[in-house]
Amino acid sequence: MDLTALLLRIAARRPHVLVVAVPGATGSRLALEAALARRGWPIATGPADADVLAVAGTPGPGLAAVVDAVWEQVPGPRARIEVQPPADVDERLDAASALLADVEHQRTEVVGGNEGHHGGHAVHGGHGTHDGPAEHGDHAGHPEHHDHAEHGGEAGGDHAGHGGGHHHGHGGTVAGLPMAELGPDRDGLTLDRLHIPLGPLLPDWPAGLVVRVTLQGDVIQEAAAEVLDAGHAVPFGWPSAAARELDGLARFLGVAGWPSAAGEARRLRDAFLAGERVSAGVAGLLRRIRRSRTLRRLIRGIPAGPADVAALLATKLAAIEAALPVDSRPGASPAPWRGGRTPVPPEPGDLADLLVGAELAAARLIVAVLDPDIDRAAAGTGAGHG
Amino acid sequence: MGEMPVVPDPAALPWWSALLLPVLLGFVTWLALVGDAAFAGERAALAVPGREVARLLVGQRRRTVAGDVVLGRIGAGVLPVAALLAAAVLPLGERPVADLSVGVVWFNAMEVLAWAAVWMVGWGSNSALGLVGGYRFVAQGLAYELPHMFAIITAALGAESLRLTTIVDAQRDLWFVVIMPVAFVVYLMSAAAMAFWGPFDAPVDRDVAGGAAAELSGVDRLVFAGGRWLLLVTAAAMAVPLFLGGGAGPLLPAWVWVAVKTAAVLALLLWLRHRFPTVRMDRYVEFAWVVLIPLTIAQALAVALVVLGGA
Amino acid sequence: MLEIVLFWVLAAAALVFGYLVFRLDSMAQVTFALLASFLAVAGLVLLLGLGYLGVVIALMMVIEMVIMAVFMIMFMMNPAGLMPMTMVHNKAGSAVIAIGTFVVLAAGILLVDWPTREGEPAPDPTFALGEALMGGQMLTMMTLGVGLFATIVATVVLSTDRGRYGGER
Repeated sequence: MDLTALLLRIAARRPHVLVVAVPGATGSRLALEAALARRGWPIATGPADADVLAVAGTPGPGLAAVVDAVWEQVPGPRARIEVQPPADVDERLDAASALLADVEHQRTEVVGGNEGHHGGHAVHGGHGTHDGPAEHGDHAGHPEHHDHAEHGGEAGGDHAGHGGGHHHGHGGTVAGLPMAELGPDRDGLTLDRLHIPLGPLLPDWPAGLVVRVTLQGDVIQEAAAEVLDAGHAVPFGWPSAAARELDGLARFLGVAGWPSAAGEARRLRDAFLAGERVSAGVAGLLRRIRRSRTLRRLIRGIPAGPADVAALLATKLAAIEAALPVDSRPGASPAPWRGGRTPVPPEPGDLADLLVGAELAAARLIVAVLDPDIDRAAAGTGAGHG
Repeated sequence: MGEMPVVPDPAALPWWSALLLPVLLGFVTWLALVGDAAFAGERAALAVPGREVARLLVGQRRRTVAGDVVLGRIGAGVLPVAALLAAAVLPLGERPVADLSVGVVWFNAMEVLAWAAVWMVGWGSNSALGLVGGYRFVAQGLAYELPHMFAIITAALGAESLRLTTIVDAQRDLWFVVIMPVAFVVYLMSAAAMAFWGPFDAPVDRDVAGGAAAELSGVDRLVFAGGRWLLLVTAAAMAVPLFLGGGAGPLLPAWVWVAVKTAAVLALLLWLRHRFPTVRMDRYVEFAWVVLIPLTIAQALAVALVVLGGA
Repeated sequence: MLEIVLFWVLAAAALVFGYLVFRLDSMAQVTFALLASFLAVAGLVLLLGLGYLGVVIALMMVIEMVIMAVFMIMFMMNPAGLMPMTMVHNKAGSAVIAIGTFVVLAAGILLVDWPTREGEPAPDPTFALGEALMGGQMLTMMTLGVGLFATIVATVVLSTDRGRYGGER
């Protein structure tokens, strides 16, 4: 009995899936997430944790390059699938599972170039997000540049962390990676700063959004946002506002580190889209969130424009309540969180301004609660001041 | 003051129990994993740990450019070793594998190794998100470690001994959880925090794509995640001799009671994660220093007065 | 027999890791080499039968080194990479001082006329140590300790001014 084959077969019963959401292809993503929940397959946090790379939709050129770079970082055994019509999801996932259990295929896969060094993710945290061919030229002057192409062989991806042409004044390179440069911090000290892109492949992150940030420690000093392949996608028409809000709420709860509530929101979203009656469940979830004093303490006072994250979340919850069918709206439940104005999802450029001065965890919460409407931005003005 | 306390005879299990301890701890950890999967509503919860272990065993190990492989691998390896060494002073039934006269301090010293270990893993991958995760755990350590020390020292104070078997004996009439409830609650919180579990999982949270563990795959991830689970189980099990009377209980033998109480504490910790969102350390540090530290000191003072009054 | 083997292994480990502190070129590795050296010393103290002191050395050194690593790397080192660096300044001078100190101390150990043991070690060394260190001043020392600790906590609390970034709330 071949032990590797046995382990592969056991492991293929519950692979971790890294979901790449393509802007506009929200239908495919929803089908994929619902299928994963049905099968009990976890969603991977990043390429290192992934067995299956699942692209939901047809990526544009920018995102496709990112996906290729990320694929290089996924350790074997691995499988890559693309889900286009939502109806195909189960077929594709079964194929991925079969591929993972296929000893012969995985052996060749392992030998074929995915061994040893994985480039790219070294310094940048954003998992393979990179600047695309245009900025690749920036690095041409580096003597060690060819060095990276050897590791992992993903041309532009290696330099991802240092994008945006911020190459002034760093102190040399180590292993082909530029050293961090110095910059003044808020206390008047001069500390190292690091350029990394957030997105487009972070867990619970809006599809296609990339925020290039300059970090000191985990505090964001500068930020510039853009949408990959702006104008490439056709906006997704949500069948109901409630489902759309529940989707955003699930992402927010995921970022806030509340997996059980996030899973519940996702389950209700899927049930709602399937036409089931979920009003009681939604009311229960809203009550649970509103009652959580811990959550309120954690997100209160994080500025996100004129309101704070707590107020924006209250508005979001009220919006879900309002979008439910009238007859089944929950009774007059006490709402201890007073909401502000109904927020208009911001343009990516405005979003970036809100992140300056926030630490990483707070920035993630701000992005999640504002839930920028990438689909609309993609169809409209495109990149912010990136 | 002045006369030396009587030192009881060593009451350790025979030497071969040291070989059985990893097996026993691994078994309990396996059960805890199944319990957690069931808690999360997974189908086929029984099979989840097996599938996960198989997945990580065949998984390829990966390296990052200019990563510090030495520190990263040592860090991951230290986690399970520290958990096992800490578990050596756990009374399994009536007797532990090693009945050290300074058992409580030994436990604390071993669990604090995790502090260095997680930072080393986060640093080792030379990845920004990994390093953020590592630093988050250091901040978390600063928040939980002081209240934690006061909590376990309160139990030692109640028994006037650092030896765990003596601490268990001192609870023959009254479990310490009754006279030091604050210390018990603080201990539970810090137990979750030291295993970066439940609401204290910011160092490996989704918002930084897995944090300290972001770049680990294959066996490296297995050792890291396994070590974390062993730490959680050990920390939960240590609450039993410290606060819950050890193996004391009617009818059943001591080891059954230890198992039952450990399972209860573990279930409570698993539930905590489902009940609360991740606590951000910049908010928690303030709470820990302003509220928890004074509370635990007051608790220690109260217990000290009880002990002095009883003497 | 086992004790003698352990002694030499730990002694050698303490020296080798101490040496590595000056040879490694990464600040993180240097910090943990120093920690390993301290842990070997803690093992030696345990061998002497001083359980409490040995374990407390291990406990304190781990905490101390992690905090030191954070500060050193935060202020002096590039968190992104591992730029080769050296921990040694004034190489010749420091080598002379280090070797000289070692020779003097080692010679002292070998040459001093050690007294023979009188009486038995205390049944509980931890208790005896506490008595010897503090004796009749226990209450004073405890009060002082709590006072100092309260001062540290109060200072930190007052200086952080509501939240990590001052005026956050």
